[in-house]
This record gives sequence, C-alpha cells and structure tokens, in this order.
Amino acid sequence: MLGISDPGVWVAYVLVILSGLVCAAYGIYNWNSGAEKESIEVKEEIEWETAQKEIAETL
Amino acid sequence: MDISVLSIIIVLYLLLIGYLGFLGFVKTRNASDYLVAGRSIHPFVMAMSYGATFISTSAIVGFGGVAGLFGMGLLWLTFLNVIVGIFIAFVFFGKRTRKMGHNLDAHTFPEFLGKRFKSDFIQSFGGLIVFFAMPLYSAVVLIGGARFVEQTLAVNFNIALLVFSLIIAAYVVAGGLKGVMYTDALQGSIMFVGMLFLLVMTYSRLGGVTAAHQALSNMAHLVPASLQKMGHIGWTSMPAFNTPWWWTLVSTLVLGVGIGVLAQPQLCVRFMTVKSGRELNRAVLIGGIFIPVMTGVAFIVGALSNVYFHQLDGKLAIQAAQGNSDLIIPNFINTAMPSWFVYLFMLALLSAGMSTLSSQFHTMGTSIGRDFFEKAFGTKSNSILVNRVGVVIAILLSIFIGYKLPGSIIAPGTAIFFGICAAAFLPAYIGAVYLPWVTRQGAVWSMVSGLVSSLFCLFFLHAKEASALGISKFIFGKDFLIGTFPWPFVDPIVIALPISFVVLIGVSLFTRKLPGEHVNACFDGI
Repeated sequence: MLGISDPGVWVAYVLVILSGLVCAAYGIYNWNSGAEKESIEVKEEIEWETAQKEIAETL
Repeated sequence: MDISVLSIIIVLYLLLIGYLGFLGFVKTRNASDYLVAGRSIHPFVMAMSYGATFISTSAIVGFGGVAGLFGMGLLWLTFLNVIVGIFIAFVFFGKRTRKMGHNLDAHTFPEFLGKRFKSDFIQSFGGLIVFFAMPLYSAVVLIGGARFVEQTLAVNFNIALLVFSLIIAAYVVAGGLKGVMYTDALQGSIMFVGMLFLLVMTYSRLGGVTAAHQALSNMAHLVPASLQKMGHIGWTSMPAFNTPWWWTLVSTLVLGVGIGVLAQPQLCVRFMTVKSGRELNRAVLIGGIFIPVMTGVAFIVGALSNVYFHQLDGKLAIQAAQGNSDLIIPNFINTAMPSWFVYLFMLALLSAGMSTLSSQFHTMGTSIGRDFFEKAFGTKSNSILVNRVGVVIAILLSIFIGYKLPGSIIAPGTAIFFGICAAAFLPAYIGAVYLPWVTRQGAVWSMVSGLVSSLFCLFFLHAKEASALGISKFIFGKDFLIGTFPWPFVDPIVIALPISFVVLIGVSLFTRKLPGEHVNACFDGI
C-alpha cells in the first residue's frame, strides 16, 4: 500500500494520520466544553502565575 | 552560502520578532494580563503559539536523521507521540495535573510529587535527578541547532556550538523574551508551513507519494551488509523481528521516547501554566495536527532522503552525511531545498530551540535551588543565589557535554533522558494523579528503584552505553554483564519501568496510608 510493502510500516503511516484526525475531532467536539468552569479556573491560574512569577524573578 | 539572501532573511526575521515581541509586551504587561488577554487573542495566534511548543530540534534534526538510517518504521514513534504524548497526556494527565498542581500550589514537577506524597525527600531527590540528567537532553538540543548551522553556513561544528550556546546564555540571562505568544506564533507558523513545504517538495521531486515510497522500497538491496546482519531489511520495512536492529528501533526509539514523554518535568509544569481545562481540550486539536506535521514529516523526509541522495550521486543518506545521522536532515534540506527556504527554516528552528533550551535551563535552576537546596537544607536564605548558580552550572554543563558527545547522538541522548525520567517518575506520577491509596514509601521506593535500575542497565547491561562508559569493563573486566541475546540491546526502560511499577504497588500495599484529609485536598475538584 502506498508503495510500502510491509504492513508493519504502512499501518503506522495510516495510524499517524488517523490519530491526528482523532485528536483534531476531539479538540473540535470539546472546543467549548469546560467553559462553565473557566472563570474560576482563570482566577486560580492567576494566583498560581503570580506565585510563579515570584519564583521566576529569583532566577 | 548566499550572503545577500541570508542577510535579508535575518534582518526581516529579527524585525518581525522585535515587532511581535513589542506587540506582546504592550498588550500583556503581567501574568494576569497575559492570561486575560489570552481570551481575546485570535484563535490562529493561539493555535500557532501552542504549536511552537511541539517543535523540537531534537525530534526534527536528531530523530529525522535516525529515520534516514532506520527507515519509516520510526513512524510508530510519531503515532505514540500523538496518542500518548498528546491525547493521553493532555486528556488523562493534563487536567488532573493542572487541578492538583493548583490545589497543592506546586510550581515544579518534583515539588508536585513531593507535596502530593508529603515528602521533602521526593522533592529534593527529584530535583537532583532533573538537575543531573537534563543537561544531556539540553546538550543534544544544542547539538541539533549547531548541526543545522554547521551545514547551512559551512562553519566548523565547534564554532557553531559555541556561538549558539553564547546566544542562548545571553537570552536566558536577559530573562527570556517578554510577550512570547506572538513570537511563538511566528515560529509555529514558519515551521508548520516549512515542514509542509518540505514534505510536498520531497514527494514532488521523487515523483509523488507512492512512487517515492516505491523507490525507497526498491533500494532494500542497498542496505549495507553490516546493517543487514543486525536485522535491517530496508527503509520501508520493520527490522527483522528479535534482532539487534529491531530491539533498538522498538525498545529504545519507539517505546523509550514514546512512553517516556509522559513523565517529562517540563510537560507537567506546562499543564499547570495552561489557563483552563478548556484550553487543554483545544491543545489536543493543535497537537494532533502539529505533531504529525513536525515529527511525521521529519521521519518520512529523513527516510526518503535516501532516494534523493542515491539518485543524486549513488550514495545513501548516511554516507552523504559522513556517517553522522545528526547531519542527514540538515544536509538534505541544504542540498534539496532553495536557499531562502533553508535560511528561514534555520532561523525558526534555532529560535524554537532557544525557547526550549531556555525553559530547560529554567527547570534545572529551580530543580537545584527550589527543589533540592531549600528542601535538603531547610532554608530559603541562599536559594536565589543557588538558583542562579544552578542555571549557570546547567548551561556550562550542557555546553561541555555538547562538545564531548560523538556524532549520531541526538536521538540516543534524548532516549536516555526520557528513559530515566520514565523509570524514576512515571509510576509515582500515575500514582499521584490516579491512585489515592499509593503511600509515601511506595512513591519513594518506586523512584529510587526506577533510577537505580535504569542507571544499572545503562552502566552494565545495555551494550551501547555500557561499552562507551567503560564502568563495567573497569569493575568486571567485560564491556557489559550479560552477553546473551537480546539483553545487550534491550533498552533500560523495558526493565526499569516495570520494576518501578511493581515496587510502587508492592510497597504501597504494606505501608501506612497518607492522611485522608490530605488525599482529599489533593483530589479536590478532580
């Protein structure tokens, strides 16, 4: 298949494309899922990032 | 080298980077701005800046070159990169790590494990592992950039390595670029389009997808006799089962790196810097597209470069690269692609390497300062100094290792680091985010046994490293302890990772559980 005789290799070739598509589909399907928690999460993240910045400034 | 084209591209590139850096800087003055601004940023910029984090000089130059040697069987690694490194990592580890990291207020990977298992030992021991093992990985990333410069600008490798290292040292000391989202997006876009261009140009030069693969299949009889003896039967075939070549491809390159990615300290911290769980879902989409385009294309092109060089002057890719697989990709791109493309590609690759290295040095600095020094000595008084000295030592150590390492080292060097991380951290990490019953002692002994067994395999069993290091020869009078096939070719991860898992479970069954309220606090909201 595709000029590749060994199934052990062309299966990998096809799986790379399929797995990429699965990830893309997952990302599109869940594009907005979890949005309801986002404002709380961003607040948590800001607190975490502020502490992170202090650590970074010690470098 | 075309000086005028190179100068124009460098000037344009620097102007663009400067402008985008400025744009990012004025829009995002502090961490909160950065996060809030992130919500109004165009999805394309967001996507491309995420994409930039998936670019690695090690994967493209090092592993692409290995594909020139091993062939397209390496695509199994790309498959694992997508399924394990993106899907499983982001969906099954990312969200939990992010939430738990925030619950514990952890800022480094060793700190995350240390706080989860209420153990200062875990944090300082983990910090030491990162500090001493990671310079090998940063050295090979440095080599990846320097090899590309060596080939493109026709300068001596040692000089290329020195100049690249000095630029990175200055970049790290200056505190990295501010407002990196836009500059990351530029690198991501250039590399994404660049790799697609490379793929299309390679296939079209070789007569199309099927014709190119067929031409590579037809070259199977040209595999050098020495490699045939090891199990290499062509660049479009998997190696003969249970041969040295098969064990190296499957256990070291595919499993070692494909699974080891889950326990990367930088990856864990990256999960905590993502601003919400929703962003992790979106990152799965971007990663699922970027990884095949980065590593998948590098591996396909690396393998197909054999056809190109054979048609050009009757050589194999590895012969055209003077026996150094790290030079295969730079050599192919320089020979087969137009000069403007080579220069642009080089600049994007180098700047991506710079941001990778900068975060690696930062990780090593905090490992020795925050994780080891503060916990081992119980004081914060000199930790700033230790952090800074740690970064300087990490940079110097990486450069020193970069000079000392031989050719064809980027992929094996990466695999060693990933293997050590997997054996030492992965079982404890899985326990941390999924198994509330894992005990402190279970995690401690899993990490210790994983590291010790991994190093034992490297020093005494795995032929390649054991012979090169010479410790086994010095103590026992032979290059490696077990000569019976396949043991000299079985990667340490195959032995050390199961040991580490068994110890985690076994010790946890017989030791005292962590206090319920602590475990509940860790898993709060998960």
